[in-house]
Amino acid sequence: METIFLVIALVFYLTSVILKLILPERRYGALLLILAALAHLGLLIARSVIAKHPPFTNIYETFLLLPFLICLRMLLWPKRHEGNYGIVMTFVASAFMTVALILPQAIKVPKPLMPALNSIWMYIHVPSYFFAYMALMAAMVYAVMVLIKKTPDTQDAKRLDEELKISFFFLNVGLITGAVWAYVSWGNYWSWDPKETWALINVLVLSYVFHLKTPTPRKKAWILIITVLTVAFTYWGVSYILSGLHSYT
Amino acid sequence: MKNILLRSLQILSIALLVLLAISTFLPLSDDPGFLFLNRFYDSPLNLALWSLLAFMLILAVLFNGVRSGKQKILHLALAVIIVLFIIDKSNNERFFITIREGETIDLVEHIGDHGKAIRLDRFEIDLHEDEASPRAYRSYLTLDGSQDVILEVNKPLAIGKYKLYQSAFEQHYYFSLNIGDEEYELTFGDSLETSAGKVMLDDYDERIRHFRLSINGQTQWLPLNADVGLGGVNWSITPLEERFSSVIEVVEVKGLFWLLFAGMTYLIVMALDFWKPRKNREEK
Repeated sequence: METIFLVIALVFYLTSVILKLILPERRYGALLLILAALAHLGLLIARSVIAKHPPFTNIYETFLLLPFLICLRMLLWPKRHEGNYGIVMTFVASAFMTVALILPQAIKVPKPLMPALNSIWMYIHVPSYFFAYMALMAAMVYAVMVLIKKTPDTQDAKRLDEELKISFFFLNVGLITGAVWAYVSWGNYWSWDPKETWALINVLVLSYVFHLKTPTPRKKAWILIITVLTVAFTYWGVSYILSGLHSYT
Repeated sequence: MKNILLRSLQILSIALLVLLAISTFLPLSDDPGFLFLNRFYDSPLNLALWSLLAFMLILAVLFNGVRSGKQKILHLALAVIIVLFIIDKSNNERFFITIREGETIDLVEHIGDHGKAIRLDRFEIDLHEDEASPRAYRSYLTLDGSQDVILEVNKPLAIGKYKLYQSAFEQHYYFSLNIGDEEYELTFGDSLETSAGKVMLDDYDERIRHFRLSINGQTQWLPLNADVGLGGVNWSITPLEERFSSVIEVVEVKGLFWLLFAGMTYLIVMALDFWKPRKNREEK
């Protein structure tokens, strides 16, 4: 059931990208995006029922949830995602879904939650990071647009700023709610666990954007790209290379 | 002054994040190594750099390095969070206690007047459907012989200024050791003072079905469920049942309220600063 939903959603995403590219009338692409979102929602519900927990506890589930948030965002704020930006974001969502489809079965098998994860804080801490990652994905697209153009577009620069603020805010929410949750579970706000340390590094790197002497869109774009790399390492690199309290994959 | 502060803050945060990043790749070692990188997280250098960062945040507020009121509050809240973390790491008392089912531990010995006598009546584990991994586990405790409480993961128990956390559990097989007419109860690793001297249960060899004991420092093998004459006295060892031990972490709580207050202030003010109300935006 889960794989069927995944394939249907992926087909809708890819068709939406193709239609947006070949048809000047964009509404067919938008309609397919709605269908993709519905299939994607079905997929997340099916996964939650099978796993008996919300779909954000391992790498595979990340590849399912993140594109859904990207899609939801495009549907809720359609004006912001018009034109090429919407096409790129839909393509990014499709790429995530493709990776989710081809991941080895062993990674997809749902694992029971350890007792410390059975907490209300999981529903605040983890989604905060997903909102941050979603904004980072969007910011990444604007950052690339800012960097490839000789004179950065004002609209791109403005939207890059907005996405930077969203991602910085939610990275901070994740960090602080994580500290509170750690206190509730272990009586310790902070353990210098590799994941925690790298989460802090992400905030430190991104905070540089707000402490530039002469903030230009290009400088911000480069800092954003470095942040995306450190976040990617925090999520995947730390999980597979460095062990610690957050080794749930 | 503003430029010097900004440049110093940039250099400091880069130094911190580089040192922190490198330290995560190095194995923990008692030898601190170059720049304390083997144990950077609890090194004086880490503490000093974070203290300096907090100090610079305060300086930035005092010397108008940040101009808007919201950003001043934001930077002060961040400085308070850093200081509270440092205080928490430096001063808070924390230790583990392990209580077996049926056993009582007097916390007064550990934390003085705040302590209570804690008895573990029973330990319970809920398993996931795979019947292998625990979904939740909890200790049924009696405090001072009268107050029944349940201690569970994610549900700490407050005793005065201390909190008790359900940290982990251990499973032990218990055995009945009979020396003549005397009967003792023990598990692996236990050391008992008996009429025959100091006895310790070391191991069980499944292949030959014999227990290895240390009696006054001498190794002796005893068969499972059979009498053996040692020093003119009959010795026997028989299995009893499996019992749990609850591992509880006792933590002195300091500054939680202020940390939550500073954390909430930091997030709320950041949100207000980033997304100004529409009216203000229009006025601008």
